[in-house]
Amino acid sequence: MRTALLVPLFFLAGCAAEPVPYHSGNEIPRGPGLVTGPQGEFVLNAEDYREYQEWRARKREQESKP
Amino acid sequence: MRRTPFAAAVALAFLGFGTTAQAQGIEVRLSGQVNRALMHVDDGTQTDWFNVDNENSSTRFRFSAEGQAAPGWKGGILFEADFQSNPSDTVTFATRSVSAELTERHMDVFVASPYGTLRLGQGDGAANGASEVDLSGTTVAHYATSPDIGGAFQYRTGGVLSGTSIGASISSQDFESRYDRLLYQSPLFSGFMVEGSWGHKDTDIVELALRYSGKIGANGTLAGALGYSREDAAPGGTDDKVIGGSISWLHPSGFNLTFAHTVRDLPGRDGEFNYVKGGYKTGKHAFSVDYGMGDDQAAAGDEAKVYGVGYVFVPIAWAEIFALYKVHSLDRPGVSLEDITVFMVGSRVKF
Repeated sequence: MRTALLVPLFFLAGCAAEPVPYHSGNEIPRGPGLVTGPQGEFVLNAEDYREYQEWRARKREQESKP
Repeated sequence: MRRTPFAAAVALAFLGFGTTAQAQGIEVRLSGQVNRALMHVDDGTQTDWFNVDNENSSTRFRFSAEGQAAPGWKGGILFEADFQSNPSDTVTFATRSVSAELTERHMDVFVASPYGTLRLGQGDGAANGASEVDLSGTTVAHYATSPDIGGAFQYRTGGVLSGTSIGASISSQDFESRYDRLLYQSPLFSGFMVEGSWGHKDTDIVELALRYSGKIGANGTLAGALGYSREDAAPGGTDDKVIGGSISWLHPSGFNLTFAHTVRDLPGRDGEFNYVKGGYKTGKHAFSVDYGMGDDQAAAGDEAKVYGVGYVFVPIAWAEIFALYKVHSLDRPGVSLEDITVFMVGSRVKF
């Protein structure tokens, strides 16, 4: 019965609403992290890898010079 | 050209894996948190302090990656595990120390498209959390699933353990949690989302949910969910069916209200849960009081109650300090049971 009461509340709310994402407080919080800084997560991508490869290639080249 | 992605390799090496994969357009993300607390429990006969991991939001880390598969289509993975020593819902006077172990939370692959998201693997069932929607800002201290803090402690009668724990008597009956499943999540329609999942633990599970989250003009934010779950019975048993939901309203002033209700089919009776929470949050502070009732859950005729006070302070964006005081009681016909009082103070730090 109480569950049924929740249904119209939902739809009434939806009529005039602007959607906003819900984030549970029981999950890892959004926002900055102690180590990860303002982004809140380490983000690594293919560009990082390409730069790493180029750096390694330059290092190898320098080390191979007499 | 096939390349070994440095990003993915570093991320997977962090988890103890090695890998090679196509890296083009893929982003790898790492995040996590540590959530520890001191908990004091008094069951009317015995009292003690415990150094616990806060089960309201356990110590965990997350690794995710996604990349574009086609215009408008993305694919990826989510890996999340928790690592808790002395979980706050597991310790007792007899077992004050529980060794940490890696426990799966999410281990799934997904594809997201304009038609919705499909997830395959270990993760949330469609209705997981549908009885726990809460905008109070104090869920790290207390929320509908009150047994997450001190849930393993048993009520005493005449100084003797009764065999009935807090967790057995006042569960939020939050559906089927996480399991190996196939989950569909619809796109958002005016803040509404429909979810459905099918999977299994020992037996098959089906779950459905309707979720909502949106701003209601000058009246603040409203979020809620309705859920249904059915876990097939083992031979000779009763299907485990739960229906219910929760709704939470946050006024722009900071005042907030939350309500949750679930009913579970139990042999010969319905186990019922009701919960109400009122709070206020402003700036770095959030404060709330709550009251929960569990009827006929552990045994027919049982009336379990909890009332509590919670406070959360956010001194810096990546850290919270929280405190909780709550009292659990259980009325059982013909038996006199002692109340259990719990106090907890701790901190969650996102890294």
